[in-house]
Amino acid sequence: MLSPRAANDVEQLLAKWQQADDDAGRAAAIRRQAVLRAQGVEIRDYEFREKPNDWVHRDWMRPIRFVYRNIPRGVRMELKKRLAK
Amino acid sequence: MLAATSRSIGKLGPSRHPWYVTGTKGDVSTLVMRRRAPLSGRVTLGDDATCEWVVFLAAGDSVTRDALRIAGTAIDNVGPDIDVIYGDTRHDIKRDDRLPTYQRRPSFSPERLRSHNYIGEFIMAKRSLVDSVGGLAMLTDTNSHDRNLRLTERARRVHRSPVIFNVTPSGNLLPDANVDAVAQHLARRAIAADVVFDADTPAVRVRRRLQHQPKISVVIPTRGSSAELRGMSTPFVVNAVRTLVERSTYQNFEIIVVADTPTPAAVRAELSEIGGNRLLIVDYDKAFNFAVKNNIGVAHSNGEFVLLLNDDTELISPDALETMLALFEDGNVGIVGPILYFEDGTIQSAGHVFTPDPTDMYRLQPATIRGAHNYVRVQREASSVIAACLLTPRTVFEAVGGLSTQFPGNWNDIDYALKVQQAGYSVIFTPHAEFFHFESKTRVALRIESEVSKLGNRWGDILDDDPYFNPRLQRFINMWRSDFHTDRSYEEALGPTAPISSK
Repeated sequence: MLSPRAANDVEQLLAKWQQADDDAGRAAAIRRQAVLRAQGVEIRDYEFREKPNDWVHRDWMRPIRFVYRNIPRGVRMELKKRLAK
Repeated sequence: MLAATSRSIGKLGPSRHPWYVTGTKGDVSTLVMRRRAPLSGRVTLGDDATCEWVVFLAAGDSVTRDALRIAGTAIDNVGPDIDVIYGDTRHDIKRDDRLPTYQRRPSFSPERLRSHNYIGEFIMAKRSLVDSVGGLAMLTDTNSHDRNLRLTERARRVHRSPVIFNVTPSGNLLPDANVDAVAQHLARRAIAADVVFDADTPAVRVRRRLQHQPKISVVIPTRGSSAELRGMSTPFVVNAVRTLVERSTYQNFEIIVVADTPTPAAVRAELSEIGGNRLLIVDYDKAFNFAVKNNIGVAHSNGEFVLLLNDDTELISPDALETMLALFEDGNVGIVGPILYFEDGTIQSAGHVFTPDPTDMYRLQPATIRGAHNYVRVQREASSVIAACLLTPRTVFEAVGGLSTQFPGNWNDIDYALKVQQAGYSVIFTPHAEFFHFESKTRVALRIESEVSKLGNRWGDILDDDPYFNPRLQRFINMWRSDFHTDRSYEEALGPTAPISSK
């Protein structure tokens, strides 16, 4: 069987890694804040964003969709062209 | 076939970034587009050596009206070092459910591009780059996999825009792969590797040649618990160690088992018998902390590489260690993770994506599944892989401070992978190394808000926009699936697909 490393050496290594992790974490947080600042987003504690707004299936879209599908094809194509820009 | 291509070119612009379009060949298989103000929307044919950018487009495909405007904006905003731009593709086919089919692509993934041409037929490149890699005539004549490899390997920056750039009538949703193109690419990059073509997928498997046989330290935290495995009550850790020792064709490893104090003496004795003089059992008597246990194991080890391995795993492919190890020959790889299966053969993890919830891709799907565009079947970059089985160089582990003890239970692997990438290394998932992971199929990682906050405060922007994901994919699921419910164009929202997809 292999021999374990001396407890003192292990403690020193763990402390060194802890320091490196703290540094990496700090650098990551600073980088994230810089990204948010560049995007003009408010910096606050992170939480998972839930699904973005599903505007396509809102009730108010139903009549618009109905009208759109029933207008003459030429008008519809023209609208599509303009909306796609 | 070319009518659609010509029509789409005719409809380009006007936009803020006018382009001239010139065709170098009669079949319009390559378009040369030149940005120049102020005349907009004009199309001319013929090669133009003074143009700034070249757009390669398959004959029969259409350019979307916005493609060049969006590319122009990217060129202006992302940086002057952009040399290559690619985006997503819409397949103009009607499936039974009448939904259009999209190929949403991740950010530049060089290892994946060696496996198959995930970038597709549409790619934009700076004219100077085109000239430096062989010229327009050569790139027009060669296949698209070769062209994309040549362009990206010399590009300073490759930019992915997550928008539809081209529409194709092709019903083939599987990226093609060209083994000769990959072999030539490897030769140009001086990567010593063998290539094997898998015609069924199709994909190229790149097997780097191991230049030396470094020692791996296998670190296994355990409590010595047992469970029914194939009808027999077996201590997990004994099974993990035994299968590694007996099945692996790579034997230069040591095993460090970090055992909780209550680990039964019988289990310890069995481990000692199997592991012999390359086993070390380290006692752990503090409160459970997965990160600390692993770090302690690594601190006691001596190998050049570290394999973090859960005790409830089992080696499947005998050459898994060589396969994973060989990927480090590139020098810029920081982590390699294999594909993991549940006991019944369904997938436990094929790498992580952030949706933004860190998610095991294709979890619970059958082993035969390809994933979208062969996602599961190819070696590729990933944002993270699960620490149940993860190989990493000791130097990298030490440089980033090992697993963060701030994440005692969940997400220490995510944090580790992101730290490693921040340090300039890549994370690779390979389906060619296989392990079992006997985790409970019904286990759902408990989401602790303080841990979400801690992880997010370090990496929130990456969780929200995972480079190896695509913002137009469905979120909070473990599949690569287009999001039909959100982020639609007006055209899609008003068209006939909306009510159908709302079922």
